[in-house]
Amino acid sequence: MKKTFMLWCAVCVGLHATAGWYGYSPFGDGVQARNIYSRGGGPTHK
Amino acid sequence: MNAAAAPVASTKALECPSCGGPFELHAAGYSTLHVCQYCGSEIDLTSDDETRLIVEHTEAAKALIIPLGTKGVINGVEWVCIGNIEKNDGWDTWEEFLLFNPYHGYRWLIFQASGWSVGTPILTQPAHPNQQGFRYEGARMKRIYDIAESTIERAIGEFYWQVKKGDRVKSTSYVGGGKVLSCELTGNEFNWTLEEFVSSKGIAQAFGIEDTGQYPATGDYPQPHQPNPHGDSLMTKALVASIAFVAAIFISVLLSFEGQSFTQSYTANPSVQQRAVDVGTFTISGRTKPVTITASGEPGDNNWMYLEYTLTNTATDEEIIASQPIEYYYGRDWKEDDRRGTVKLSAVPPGTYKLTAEVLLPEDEPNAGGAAIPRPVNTFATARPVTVTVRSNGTFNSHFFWLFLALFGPVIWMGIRAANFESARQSGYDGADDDDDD
Repeated sequence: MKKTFMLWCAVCVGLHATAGWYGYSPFGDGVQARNIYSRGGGPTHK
Repeated sequence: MNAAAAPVASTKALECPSCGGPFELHAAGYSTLHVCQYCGSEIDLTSDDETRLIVEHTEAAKALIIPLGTKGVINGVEWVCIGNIEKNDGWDTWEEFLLFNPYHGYRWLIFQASGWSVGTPILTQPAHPNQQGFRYEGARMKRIYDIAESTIERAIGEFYWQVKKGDRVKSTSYVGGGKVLSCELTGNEFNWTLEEFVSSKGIAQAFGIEDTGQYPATGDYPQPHQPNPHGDSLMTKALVASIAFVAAIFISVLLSFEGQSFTQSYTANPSVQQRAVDVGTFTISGRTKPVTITASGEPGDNNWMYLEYTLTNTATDEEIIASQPIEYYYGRDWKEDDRRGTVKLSAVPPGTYKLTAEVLLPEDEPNAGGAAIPRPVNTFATARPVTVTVRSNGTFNSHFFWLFLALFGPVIWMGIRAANFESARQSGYDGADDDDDD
């Protein structure tokens, strides 16, 4: 169990390093369409 | 080893004087009583003829989980099962098997619904059984079962004392250091037994019997000294996860050292039509890399600016578009300050890129006819400075979120299960919350 967990940790860190090395994000690439701006968004305060 | 000095227990084949059932004395010379496993008759072994009938019974004994005479090895010592007692305290019923080895004496093998224990009789008196707690061999022992009376429902086989069905005995138990100390009270005599947990699988292998199971497969709660299967090396795993997380941070810091960085400042003014600014040109080589664009500016009070980025591959003219609002709003007792923001582009392919930032102001916002909407002039924000920095590296916070979840999620899950196990264990104690230490 302990060895399995250590292996799991190593895999996690390896995936983290690989994602960092290639600059991959699991939450989209940040790319947007042109001219999508409006009034900034305005205050969300109610 | 001097064989002559070793204790020898002879095995004798005898017959029950009541039913004629054959039996063997495994601890001849040590045992004082034999209870026939076939009819339950009690046979005194201390008399000269060795088989004097004390009480004659005609009831048949139940089939035992470990038949009398069965041999098994526990902790490297071979024991023979010579007796069996079944007890009932009004709530639970359990069995105690008397084991014998001529070199090591007697042991108790205690079978409860939740599992097995090996009990070693101890000659010392660790404490008075009225105490709620005490220290024993460095461990803090805490009373878990109040003094209660149990009845012997069955006694068959060989015993070193006189015991019979219907006898009543008072007992109490303490737990600490992963062991249980139980005490039987007979008048002013206290007989202590140190109990250690043994897995049901281990007992099954030792005596060649069927695995009777243990908590949580059987029983309502774990035994007081049953190792917590989920708590095993929990702290070690938390430490390993922490080290892995720190290692991941270190890797991210190392990766942040590579890449190029450019910063460009610009002052946007509604009267100036040119709103685009070249931030910098940089090259991504070898592999995909992240691009981080950070902007900070002063849009003015309750106002906004909008930055539209164009990252152009100078060789292919392919464009990657991104944008960032710069806003600052406030009221009497609230404030929303977004005058600084970051956009991260993931996995940008290798190539040479030029970043252009176009600064858009509220005054530029077109109306339905396409003309700019006339707005009151904000005298405090006529000139609105903005600074844009682009870096061909970066770290995504989501990486750390997922990594934390992957590393510590199992630890937290195991911790919860360990806590539940302990909670179930405590639920089996008598007044677990109000017991005091000595």
